[in-house]
Formats: sequence, C-alpha cells, structure tokens
Amino acid sequence: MRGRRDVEKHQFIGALLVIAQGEVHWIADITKAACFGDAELDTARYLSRMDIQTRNDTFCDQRGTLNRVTALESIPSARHKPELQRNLWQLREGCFRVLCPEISGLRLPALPTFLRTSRISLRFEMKAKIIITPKKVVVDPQGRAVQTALEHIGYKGIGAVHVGRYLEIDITAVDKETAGKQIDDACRKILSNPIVEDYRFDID
Amino acid sequence: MNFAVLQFPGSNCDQDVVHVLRNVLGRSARLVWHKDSSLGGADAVVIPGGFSYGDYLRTGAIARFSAVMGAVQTFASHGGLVLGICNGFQILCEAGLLPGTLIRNRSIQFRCENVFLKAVTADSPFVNRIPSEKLVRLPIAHNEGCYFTDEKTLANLKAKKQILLRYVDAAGEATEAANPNGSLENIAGVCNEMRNVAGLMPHPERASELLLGGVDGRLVFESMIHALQTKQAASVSQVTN
Repeated sequence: MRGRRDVEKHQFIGALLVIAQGEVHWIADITKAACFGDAELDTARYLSRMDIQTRNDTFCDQRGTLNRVTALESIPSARHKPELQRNLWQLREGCFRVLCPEISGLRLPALPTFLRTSRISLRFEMKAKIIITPKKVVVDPQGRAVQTALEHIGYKGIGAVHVGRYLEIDITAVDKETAGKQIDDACRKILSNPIVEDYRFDID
Repeated sequence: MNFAVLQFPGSNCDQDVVHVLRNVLGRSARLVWHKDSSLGGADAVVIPGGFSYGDYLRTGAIARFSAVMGAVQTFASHGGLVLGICNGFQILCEAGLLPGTLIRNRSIQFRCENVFLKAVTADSPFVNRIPSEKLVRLPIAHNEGCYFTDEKTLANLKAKKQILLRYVDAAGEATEAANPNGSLENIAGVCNEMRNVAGLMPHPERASELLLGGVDGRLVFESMIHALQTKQAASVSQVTN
C-alpha cells in the first residue's frame, strides 16, 4: 500500500489486504478466506487489486498472514483459480520481504509458469522513480553555476555539482520485471539522451 | 519544386520559412502539421525553429516521436533533402538523423545575436552556394545550441566532411570568443553521412531580406534549390537519353 490516497479509495481489509471499493462486498476479514467455498473463490477471481502493506505491520501480522495464505493455498478448489493463486503468491512475497528484510533485493522464486501464462491477468500498480544525470564527460554549466553559488554563500567542502532530472512514473504491470523492462526501454528511447546523460531507476 | 515546412505545437519560425520560400524565392511551400503522416509529395523538408512541445523533457525529444517524423525518416532514407533550423536541428539530432546532440549553452545564457559563419565545405546541398571565403552573417536565438558529441563521432564528422558551418570572428577565424554557445570546434551546422540531412543553429529565414538587415540566409535556401534543380535536370536527361 503506497499512500493515504490508496487507503481512502480502497477498502482496508484485515491486516494486509487492500481491495478496490465496490468490488469486495463479500469479505470482512482475510482469516475467513481459509474457509472459502467454491462460490467465494469464484468471487475472488474478480479481485482486481491487492496491495501489500509492508511498512506498518508487525512481525506477527505478517507471520499470521503467511499462515493464512498457506492455508488458503492448500484448499483443493483454490488450486484451480489461477488469479487467486497469483494474488496469494504476491501476498506471500510481500510477507517474506517484511519477515526477512535481509533478502530484500534478492528475487523470490518467480511465479509458476502456469500462473504467468494464464489468460487472467492480475496487474499491480507500481511507481518508477527515475534519476537522469549528465554524463561526467559532458560539461555541465548548470552544475558549475550551482557549485559556484554554494561556495559563494559560504558552504564548505563543496565539490562538483551535477544537475539532472527526476521523474516519477505510475505504471501498472503484471510484475516488477515487466515494468522494469518498459521503463528501461523508455529511458533509452525518450526519457534520457544517451549521448550526454546517464539514468538509473527504482521501482516500488 | 515543393517545400514542406513542418509545424509542431510550439514551432514559431514556420511562417517565416514559408514566407521566404514563397515570397522571396518564389517557390511552392506548404505547412505540414505534426500529426500528418505524409509529406504530400514534397521535394524537400524544412523543420523550423521554435519550442516544439514546449521543449519539455529535452529540446526536440517529444517532437521526434510525432507522426510526421516517421514520414521524414522514410523521406530522408530515400535521399530526400531535410533541413533542420535551430529547434529543427535539435529534433533531427534526437531522431538520430544527425549525429551528436545540442545541450545547454556553455554560458547558461539564451543567446540572441548576429554571428559570423564560414562554410567548411561546398560539397553539400545546403551550403553549395556559399563561397568558401565568404563571411556569412546570420542571427542566432537559442538556449541549447552547444553542439556535443563523443570524440569518435567528431573524428568521423571531420573525416567525412560533415561539418558544414563554423562560428567565426570578423576576421574569419574560428576562435573561442566567436563561439556563442560552447559548441565543439565552433560547429554551427552538420550533415549526415549521406549528406541529404542537415541541421544548423543560425536562422537563415530571419536574414533573407534587406529589410531585415541581411540577405545571407538566402544562400542556404538557394543552395537547396540549386541541388534540387541539378537533381531534377539529371533525372530528366536520364529519361530523355
């Protein structure tokens, strides 16, 4: 869950799930999910959005959720619901990131192929944060002017200044990798000029 | 002989170019909107100066992806003459039709003044009417006109005589003082390897009538007209033979 706006727009369910308003009138608490029957699981297929709160949850919340996810995954009828499976997979990944912060940065095992290729696609909202800076070999008159100004004001120890650009792009994709590929392509094609600029980006 | 003058949101020299081509040089010229995907059978294309798409992101960065630029790419790949002036030069660099790029002036000032130029070569459809010793006086008006490229490309440009114009002083020397924007080697204009696409930062359309203080700008358009006439004459003689 990324911001207050999301909370206002979406219903907050249980400890960890945020589900689009209006699309969920069937669930009060994720703990009940483990008791889902066929009808509920069908409804779950229409889940269009599921974000994972990682910042404010306690360790116990995350572990509890992980247990519930495992329970839900073990229901035989849930195994035939690719979209639900995919939701759970993402949820599990989010839990892992909180429970084992030392693995953040490592990739968890990718989604199983049958989920990746299923026709039902679940897309996640992400934010790409892109920083574009002039290459070191290029004279950066703006940076030099800022450097001079800083020194003039009296700041000590000021070294080279490079003035670049920062962009935030909201992007919806099936996973981080797909979003990353698109952003990388856009950086090369339009967002930066490879002759004089370098770029780097993060996706949250 | 038909000239297509491209028009982007934010172009502001488009009417000037059309005026010079039509009313000063007596040629047919028409504006082509950036959403058009056809150049309507034009013999040459001029991409005028201005601030296409408000110069958002980078100068020329958004314009290069417009529909009409697809047509320009095809036109250029078949040998059609394409001239980019100021923002047009920036767009052509962004589009990869010309080597290098144009970055912020070294002085961090918007430079709006008359400069002296010298043609480096006569082997070009864009400067063939400029005598090698002539001091050409044209106005510039830009913020991002500092021509930059890597050393390898620069060496290549020199080896293949792709540098068309350099900023010089009143004595005709390409000095640092005569360089208004910090361009590498005082470069004011370049062309591609095929020599049919060129870009220059100065504005020839703003110096094509005595009323405006000079007529040196005509030389650029007259060079293009001369090249087109030579090409047409060659194709006619091929047909008659």
